[in-house]
Amino acid sequence: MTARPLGLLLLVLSASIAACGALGFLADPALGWDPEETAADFEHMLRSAAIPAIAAIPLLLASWRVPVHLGRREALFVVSTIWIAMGLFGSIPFVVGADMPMADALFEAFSGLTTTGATILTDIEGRLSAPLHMWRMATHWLGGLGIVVLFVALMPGWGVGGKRLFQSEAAGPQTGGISPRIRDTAKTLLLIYCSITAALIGALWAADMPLFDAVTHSFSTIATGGFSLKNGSVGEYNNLAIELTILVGMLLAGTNFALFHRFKSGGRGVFWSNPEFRVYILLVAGATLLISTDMILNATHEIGDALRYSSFQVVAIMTGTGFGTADYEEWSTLSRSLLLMLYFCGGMAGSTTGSMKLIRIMIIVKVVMHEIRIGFRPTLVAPIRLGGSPVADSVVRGILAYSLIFVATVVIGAMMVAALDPVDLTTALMASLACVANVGPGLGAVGPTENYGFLSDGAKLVLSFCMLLGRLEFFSLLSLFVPSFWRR
Amino acid sequence: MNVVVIGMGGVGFYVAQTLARSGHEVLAVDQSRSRLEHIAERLDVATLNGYGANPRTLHLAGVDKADLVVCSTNSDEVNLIAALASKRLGATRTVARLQSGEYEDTEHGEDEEGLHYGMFGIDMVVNSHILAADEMFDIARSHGALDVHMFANNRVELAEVELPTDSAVLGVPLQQLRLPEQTRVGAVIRDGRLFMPRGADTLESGDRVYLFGRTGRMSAIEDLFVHGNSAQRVVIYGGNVIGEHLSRQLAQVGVEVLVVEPDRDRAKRLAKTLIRGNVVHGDCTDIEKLREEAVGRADMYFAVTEDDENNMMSALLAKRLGTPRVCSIVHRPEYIAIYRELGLDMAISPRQVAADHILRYSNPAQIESVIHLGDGAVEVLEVVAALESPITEAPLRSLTMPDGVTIGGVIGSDGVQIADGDTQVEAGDTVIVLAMSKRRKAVTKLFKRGLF
Repeated sequence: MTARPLGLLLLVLSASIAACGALGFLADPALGWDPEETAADFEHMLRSAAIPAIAAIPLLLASWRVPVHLGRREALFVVSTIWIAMGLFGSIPFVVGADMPMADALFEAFSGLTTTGATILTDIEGRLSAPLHMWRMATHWLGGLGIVVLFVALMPGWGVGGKRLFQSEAAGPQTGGISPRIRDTAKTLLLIYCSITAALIGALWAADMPLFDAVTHSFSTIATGGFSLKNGSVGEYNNLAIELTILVGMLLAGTNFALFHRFKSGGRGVFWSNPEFRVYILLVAGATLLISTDMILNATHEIGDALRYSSFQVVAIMTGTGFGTADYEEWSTLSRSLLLMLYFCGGMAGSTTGSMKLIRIMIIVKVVMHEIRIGFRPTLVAPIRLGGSPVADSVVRGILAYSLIFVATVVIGAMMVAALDPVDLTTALMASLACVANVGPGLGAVGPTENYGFLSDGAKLVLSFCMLLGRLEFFSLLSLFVPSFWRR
Repeated sequence: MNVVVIGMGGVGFYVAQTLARSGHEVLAVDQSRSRLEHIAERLDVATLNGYGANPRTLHLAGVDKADLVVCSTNSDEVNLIAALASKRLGATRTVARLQSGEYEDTEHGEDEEGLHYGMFGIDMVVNSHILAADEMFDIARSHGALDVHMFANNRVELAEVELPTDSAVLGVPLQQLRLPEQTRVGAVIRDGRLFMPRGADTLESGDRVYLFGRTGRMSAIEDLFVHGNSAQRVVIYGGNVIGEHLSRQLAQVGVEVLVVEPDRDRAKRLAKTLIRGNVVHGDCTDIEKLREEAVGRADMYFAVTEDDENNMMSALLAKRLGTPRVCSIVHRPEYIAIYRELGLDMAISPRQVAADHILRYSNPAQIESVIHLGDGAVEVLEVVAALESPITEAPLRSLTMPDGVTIGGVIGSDGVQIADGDTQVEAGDTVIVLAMSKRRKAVTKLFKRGLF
């Protein structure tokens, strides 16, 4: 019963790998891409694509003509296994094409699919050929919106099962549906996702980026991933127009996609009247202002540069993209602390960003305020409100449990990294946080100009699992580890 | 179609489920959050928490843009207000479900299309209890049928009969039966399996047979199959809305009616309004009471109280005392299958009747209306034949019909015709189809413009 979705997924994955092989030919040899290497790796990609395709055959045969009925358990199981299978099979091109060790390939694949953007590559430009670059960036695009959304949108016949799949992948508070029917919702989301991707490709290309770079960076931006073709990330282009385009792209990717849908009928009002959107924009503006003021007062930057680098870095970290235009490792402790806070925030719910999402932070703040007021006025009866309407207690409880798991995962992840590798506290904590929050670069030895390559295999696997936990928002994946899940 | 269903009880759930499955966008509104959570878990619909008659709820539900608003809370007043307000706000069509008899206009009744309360501006008012009573009335009036349904504005009738051991049609190939004009055999259930009989097939005692015919011709074919008579003496257990409506209708056509009502006050009140017919105070789960009222000598027994268990037990007792046809109201439709196994001739669920009625009215698709028979394994559809669809290609005789699908009647420009081999369906005709529920796809294919 759960074999068919898995089989179909592997077919989609196989087709994507093959397509990326072909897209590798977009890379212009005049810009230094080696055509012979591209052709050789195209063949590697086809070979890699064959493996998931072959694995799909028994799964599809076993489930042929079996009616799919997905209950809650099945949906959670399918979504979790789909993501794990995607990581496993998605790492194959790196092993076949670039001779990466297994742990490295897995780390890179999971980092891509979960849109974390943490890399183990020291020399990105030299290590990979064009088709592999394309695949590396395309994993962001596949994982950004969520592979299950893609599924539900394109394949009919899931019924209510589609809804359960959808909810298992994107757990957490959902702010208003787009359409009553889950398939229409998924289709609308996919359309918005593709439209923004296409617009970004056009805009980046117009800003003098080569087409291959524009396509790959658009994938990375809309998914709030963070992989880049360059060792120096986006900063290496040193082009203000490109930076601004990507900045806007990241901001769009961090916005609740349902707002774009409502924008069609409701006009501009739908954005500013949304409390989460207001917090989102004010937070970006406030953090940018504080950091650039700090830079100017420390006399490290001129006002223009201060705004340029701080705004980009604020948005890149808050949305969990993790692109870099500046080495924030060298910024003042105050600025770095501000950035550290942004690691926890994420963008809006219903966006492609990782981390906690602003709506959860807002509710937690309100719960804290409520507890403070209860302290001196114990008889006060006041529900937690958001945008005027009360939030159900069960939602509040879910959010508190979520934030606890988030922090606990970061700490436990850091402990495991520290146990496996001789790293300092900043590095261990930040590596874990950057992976759980799906940001990518951390601070210390895993800072913006560094990478995760020096870590041991064990630490890489631990961090891969952290990324997956963060992306699936813990509960879906963790339910597989509860014994009663398997009992009927 | 954009549908808002207010009130997620039995009727609301069934309507929402059916419409969502056939691809409509459904918003479910209910006062209870836990009920909505239950709905969201099972149906592909959006949900909204709120009081159905509240203007803000209606506004949030977007009834102004809805093609259909179905109001089916358990409060009649909320349903009426919600339907009226939705209509005023701009909903294309509104339906209100009622349960009490307080809003019934017994003088005027409904018009031809089943629309009453036109003055309220609500497009359709469906009273589940009255509809159930109407269905029971049709059964009592038939010549021995266990179930009766009307189609095409009451012009075509479908009756279900069970063949007794001395039926005149046993062992005779169907093609040799001299059926009355404008009637035909639709389908047969034998040992719980439904099939569409062919000319050479013969019928056996115990078969349940679905008969089609023009309204008014049915008694003749029923007489041939079961030689029963329409009920002359009827006992009704329960003096509620159903019992009251049913007893009044039956008394009006001269049937001897006895209503047994366990509540003394209610019995008194009913006795005041029921001019012809007797009301006694008592409980029909008591076999002494049944003997005392000579229930065994009645032609039909109806158990219509609010309590499923009492209905079932009293109906079984009546059957045992010798009443030839017993029929019970069942409030939980999922029990229907069990009722039949236990030996009850017929079980009617007011919710299912109301939901079917609403769906019949609300479905603007090619398949116009649906009625579920028995436990839902068989359905009767009214389908419009599309231009150049396979069904219009030749007379029925020369078409290969899919298994489990049979044509009952055709409503064309020249009136109603009960189908036989020479019937030629024209594009635009409404066709009454009897089909296994799982063959819905085959039916759709038959009536859609062919691609191949």
